[in-house]
Amino acid sequence: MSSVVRVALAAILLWAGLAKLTQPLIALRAVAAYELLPEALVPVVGYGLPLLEVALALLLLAGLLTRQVAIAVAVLMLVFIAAVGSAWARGLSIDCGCFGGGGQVAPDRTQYLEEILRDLGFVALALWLVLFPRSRYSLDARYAPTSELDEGDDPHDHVDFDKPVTEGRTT
Amino acid sequence: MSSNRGRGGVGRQGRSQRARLVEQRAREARRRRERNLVVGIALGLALVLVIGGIVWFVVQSQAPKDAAPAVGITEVQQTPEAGKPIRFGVDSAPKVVELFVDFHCPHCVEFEEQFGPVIQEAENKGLAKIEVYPLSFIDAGSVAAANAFACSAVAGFPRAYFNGLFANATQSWTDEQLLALVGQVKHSSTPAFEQCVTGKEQQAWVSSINEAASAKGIQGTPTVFIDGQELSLSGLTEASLRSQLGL
Repeated sequence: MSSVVRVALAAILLWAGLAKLTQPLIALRAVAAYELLPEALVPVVGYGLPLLEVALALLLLAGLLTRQVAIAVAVLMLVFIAAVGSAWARGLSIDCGCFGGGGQVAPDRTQYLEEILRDLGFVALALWLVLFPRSRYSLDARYAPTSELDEGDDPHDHVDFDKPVTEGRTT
Repeated sequence: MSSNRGRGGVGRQGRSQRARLVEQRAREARRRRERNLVVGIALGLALVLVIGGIVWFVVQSQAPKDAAPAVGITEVQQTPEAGKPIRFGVDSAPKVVELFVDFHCPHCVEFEEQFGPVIQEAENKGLAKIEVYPLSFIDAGSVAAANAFACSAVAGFPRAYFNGLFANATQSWTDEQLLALVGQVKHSSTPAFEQCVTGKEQQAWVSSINEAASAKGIQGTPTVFIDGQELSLSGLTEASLRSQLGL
């Protein structure tokens, strides 16, 4: 299950990141449209955010530091939700630019609620991985602290070196 | 719990088990070292990707790019009048294309990339005259670019400058960039032009264009009219634009 969540979240982030990077000018305007940042910081966030999404997606795909990366993703999504919420509260008419696009839209075309609910769904996926970070086909599983177990989903897969005598004796 | 077994059995088994244990611990240590190395490399690469990517994009975006050459274009030197557009092409042209664009609006950039050459061809062939209303609602760069565009009309090279502004829309449009653009589009700057750009001398005209556009009920950019008829941009193809312009 965690493998599926991990790959799904990675795919979402990768898609979101690459969609913005292929249209950097639109990504910049999308960030500027939130009217939250001074103009000098817009390029840093406009280019940096999609790059960060891609980087997090690649780490998730590799299954490295899954729990820490999932925490970062959850925090990122909460920041997005806060930004969309503030745009909504301030009565701006913008598209979130979450998967490319973005910028001003007609007032009746805003989809703040949908965007926030969608991001909440992504937070849920990330939280799943925070709670259950172990999954198959991940580097984390490869480097899990036992040699016996490569099936990462088993929560009991660790050897207690302080009680070696009991090992392998249960019948 | 199993320590009540016979001594001898435990000794034998204990030794082999200890050996296994030692080996396992060594294996664990190697594994941990390898893991730390992999984590370090991965995080390093991620950092390089993000920081390096930002730097690359910023540098790339501010680098000058070639504009579509204004070949065969007759530039019209003109003085911007309040609320009136900048004109390209010959007055005798049968069709009128009105362009409401912002030099920093991404969809305007796309539109220019895709359809700008077609419109310019109609202009070259004397089929259409173009009227440009440069709106400026996106950011400070939009305002500066619209002002400089008006200055270029006074200086007598608005078409080349217009193409240059769109081809380089990723630039933020500082005064230096706006002045450097003149050379990039193969014209030479004059003190009057420089004064006009740095002193924002066409500011009043820029505001009057925004007012004219909102008076016409323009909702967004780009908005294009051909002979007063709004051009539907969704699903617009080069072929259909060509036929609408009589090409």
